[in-house]
Amino acid sequence: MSEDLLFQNEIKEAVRSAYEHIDHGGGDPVADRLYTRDQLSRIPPGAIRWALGVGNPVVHAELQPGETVLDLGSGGGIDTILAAHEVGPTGRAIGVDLLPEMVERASANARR
Amino acid sequence: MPPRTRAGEHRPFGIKQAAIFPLFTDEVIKLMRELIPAERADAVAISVIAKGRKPA
Repeated sequence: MSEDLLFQNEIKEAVRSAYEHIDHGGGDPVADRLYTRDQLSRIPPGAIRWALGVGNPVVHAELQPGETVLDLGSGGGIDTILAAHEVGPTGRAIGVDLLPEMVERASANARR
Repeated sequence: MPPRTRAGEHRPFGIKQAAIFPLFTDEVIKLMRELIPAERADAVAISVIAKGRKPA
């Protein structure tokens, strides 16, 4: 157990530092590669700009209205927002991220 | 009985795909091109989306 936790703080700091150094987004080509045109048409440009993931989980999740989704590492919010569209007003989509500035971006994008 | 977990997507990532991600700096991409053999350049990583459901 103690070996599993070894370097955990260092790893967290390395991840935090890597994402903090991205100050301009730049996720548009990432989003173009991973998401469908229909999905992107429903997303604010700010969430597309900060799409830094490596997959499109919502397209596989078969979400239903009323369900609750937890997006761990939600970044700019693209997957959280897409999930919110799927689960509708009776459901919930919750985004969680290590960086407060990402949470602020996602919140602003969700309000648009 | 349907499986409780299954893989929804396997998406290979090569150096070209890594280069579109802002996380990978030009220096890192240059290093990847120098160190990774050409035959491995198109799939240096694989993104997997897996689904699981709790049994009823």
